[in-house]
Amino acid sequence: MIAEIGRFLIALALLACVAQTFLSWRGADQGGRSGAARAGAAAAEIAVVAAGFAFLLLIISFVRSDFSIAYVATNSHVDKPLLYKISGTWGGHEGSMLLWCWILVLFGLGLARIGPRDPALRARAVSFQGLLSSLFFAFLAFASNPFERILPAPIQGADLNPILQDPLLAIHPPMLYVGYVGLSAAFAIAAAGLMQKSGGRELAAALRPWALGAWISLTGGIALGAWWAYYELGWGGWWFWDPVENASFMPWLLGAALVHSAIATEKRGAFPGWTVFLALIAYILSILGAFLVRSGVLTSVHAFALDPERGMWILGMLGVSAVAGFALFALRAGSLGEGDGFEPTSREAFIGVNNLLLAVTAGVVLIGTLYPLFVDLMGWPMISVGPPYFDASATPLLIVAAALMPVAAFLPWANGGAKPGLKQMRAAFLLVPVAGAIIAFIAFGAPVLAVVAGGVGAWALCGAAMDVGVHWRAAKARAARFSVMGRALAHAGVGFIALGAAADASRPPDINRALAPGESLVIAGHTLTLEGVRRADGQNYMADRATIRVDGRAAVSPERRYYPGADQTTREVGLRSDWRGDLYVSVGEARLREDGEMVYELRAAYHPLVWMLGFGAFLVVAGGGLALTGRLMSGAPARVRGRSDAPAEAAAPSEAAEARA
Amino acid sequence: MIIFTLVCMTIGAAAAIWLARPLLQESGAARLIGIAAGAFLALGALGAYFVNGMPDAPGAPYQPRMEALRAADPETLTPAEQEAWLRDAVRRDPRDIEARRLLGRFLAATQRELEAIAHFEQAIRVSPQARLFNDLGQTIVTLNEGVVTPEAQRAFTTAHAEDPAMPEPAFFLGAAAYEAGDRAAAAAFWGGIITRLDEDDPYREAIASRAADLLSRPSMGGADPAALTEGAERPDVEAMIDGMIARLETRLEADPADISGWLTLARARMMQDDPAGAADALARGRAALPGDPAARALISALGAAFGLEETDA
Repeated sequence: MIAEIGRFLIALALLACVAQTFLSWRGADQGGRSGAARAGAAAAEIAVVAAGFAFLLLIISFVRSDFSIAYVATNSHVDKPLLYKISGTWGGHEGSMLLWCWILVLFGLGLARIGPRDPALRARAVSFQGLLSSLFFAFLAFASNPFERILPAPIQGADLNPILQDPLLAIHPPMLYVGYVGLSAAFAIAAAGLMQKSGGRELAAALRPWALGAWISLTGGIALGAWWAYYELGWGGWWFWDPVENASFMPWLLGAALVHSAIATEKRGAFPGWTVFLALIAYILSILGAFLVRSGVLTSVHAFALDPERGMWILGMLGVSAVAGFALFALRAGSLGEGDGFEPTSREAFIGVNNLLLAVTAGVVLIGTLYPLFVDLMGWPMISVGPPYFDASATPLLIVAAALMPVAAFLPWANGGAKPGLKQMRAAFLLVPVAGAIIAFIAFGAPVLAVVAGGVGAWALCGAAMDVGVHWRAAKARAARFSVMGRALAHAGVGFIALGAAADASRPPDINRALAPGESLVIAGHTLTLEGVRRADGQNYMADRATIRVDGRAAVSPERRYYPGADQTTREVGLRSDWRGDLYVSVGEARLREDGEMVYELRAAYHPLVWMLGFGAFLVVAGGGLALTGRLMSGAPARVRGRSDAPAEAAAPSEAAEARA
Repeated sequence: MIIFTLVCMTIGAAAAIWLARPLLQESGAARLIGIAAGAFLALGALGAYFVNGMPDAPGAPYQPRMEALRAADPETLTPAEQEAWLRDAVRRDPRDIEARRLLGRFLAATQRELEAIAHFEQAIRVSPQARLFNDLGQTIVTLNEGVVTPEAQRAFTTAHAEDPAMPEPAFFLGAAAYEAGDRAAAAAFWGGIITRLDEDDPYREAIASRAADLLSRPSMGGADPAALTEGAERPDVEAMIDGMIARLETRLEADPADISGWLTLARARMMQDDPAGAADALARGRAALPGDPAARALISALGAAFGLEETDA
């Protein structure tokens, strides 16, 4: 009965979303304070409760191993540890789609409760969010229902893919979905603003916190995914320009552009059309990502292998969202108004250039991701677009964007003045550590792009440090200080990521060798000695655990696991980390060597400064969190005026100073 | 079904009221819209549910199903249910050697040797019994496509030491010795089993037949001379067999206790289409090994395989 109640709750949530769409629309027409608007909000509440309980029932079904539910039967096993029984709920397509839908309606409820201040705009945004939710709930209810039954029920499940049985994978998808789906709130506000003919500033102010929150979560989700890939997949990579990685990276790039563009729009009225366009396209790319991951059009360790029919559903949703969004944009963009104008050396100009770079990078990634599909569609010989393309096209653009990033914080709004900005930044002084980093990378024999990225990373770090040094004192209010610290931390995070990526690109070659117990290999000056291999079976897997002594002292213990339920083998790497980097060892198959010794395939690698990648991502998330907190604390955004508006600044000096910061 | 319907109606009604409430507080058309919206929500949800819903389909959580299986007659269980039954028994009592052994054997029989080996090893940790070592060894052999690997040999050696009367370890140890080219050791292992088993034990005949077949094969790198010379001129093969027979006769004259030699001689005679010569070779072997029941069993098995009458030398 649990399964059928779950199915009913999904149907109820679908209908609630439809009701939300129409009632909120009517409510917006009536000014946003009528009973219809409140009923629209109530519909959002019903959808949240229904979808939440459906999700809870699905978790219960996993915990109880109810294999009469097809989704449970294909993604769980009685012997699976409880944590992975629970995380298995969102480990496959149908369950993760339910989670996606639940987050969608949570954002819908969020918009209804703490959305734009203008009640009509809020109700309209709730209506658009209801429309987006209805599309996804219809897909869930009729094409991807997690409560689909299988009768007679198998006595045992097929188990969750073992590489997904990892603590990080329990939290990575929810974070990623909050990011993807959170962008829907920005979409809904943008579309609602266009419908209501709201001004650009008002719209930017309304959508910025939502975009920032979603982008923070997307950053965290992507970072956790990269970390998982690094230690779980056994080959030591953290980013491979995999189509599914790209599917999350494109909205991230546009989300980053949106977060910054919205600042310029909110404070100076600059790029109103661009900001709204970014809000629309960022979410549309999120749906494109869902299509790539869930349609079965591409193969990836991250992808759900599914049938094209479901892909058509998602394409349909993509089409409806894109047509609705862009048609509104085409018809109503003129209502967004014009900014106050700015000089080429102003802060908004630099934000604009960085926006352009981020958007072009997203375009380059989009082309590289979709081109193989296009080739396949045309019936041409199959090709794959891999790291060489992205390294040659996207990476240089990102390096230029990172190089410009620290400067903008020192430039004044509107009337420009790069020279005083760079002087305030003490740019010449900062070039010393940058040169040091470049020399160090050259000394370690790094490739050219890594040397440049290393220099840019050092530049970004120094710029962030100087940003705090210069602007902290100017920011008197707590909210402004949060904003300054948030920006500096996020920019420092980018610097750390650039440094970490540059260092990892300069690492020594990996070593693959078969060792018998007692034998050693040397990598990056460390001697790894295989002491032995013993059985270390777990609750639902069998494992060979190698004990490898590093320089005769501490040991790492990589494992090779076999999951009988899923009939799959995985590698659990052994890591030894310190501030200089990671020693990374994985153990492969055993075989009998010609001399009769039993040997084990070992893969050893050294990843210098790889911790900087994770730390950088943490700083970006933390910085974004502080900036969001500051934004929420400050309440109404301060409008910044140019020099010609000096009297207004004189009237409210503290507010203007904080806003400048 | 009734409970399910009641639950759904309650949920639907509560949701409808919650949705309509703000509109019902207003007047005129808004109230009508509220009522319509509530009805749309509740009835629409039921309609959407019934597109694919199966209100009569029962749930099948694992624990209640296992309780029912435990109460059922094992004879009536399907293979999948038997496996689930055994897994459940092992899960409830990891020290239940018998359940674990049966599960291991079930898994081995269904080509899941790796998991079977893990279960046998865990059972051995609890209680190192000969039959568990034997099961372990046999599963390793199956996994390695019939080759008695060093790990399998270790398991069989332990099993044989624990229980010398158990036929399987001795048979596989004999096979390992045979693979290593030590026919005397192989004959000793196989002969040992044959003498220990009762005359009417079906294993005795099976082992004797297999042992006789292997021990009678000419020792030419383990391959049949006819197969080795496939495609070659026929006179070469015959000359080869003649030469082999001459060498065997010389060897058996020096060592009449070489049972493998007598069996090979009989086989070689059969290859020459000489059943009388083969029967004579077996009779001479029987005469040369009068007090060795194992040898006599092997000779009888080979004679039976060739369809020869037992004769005196």
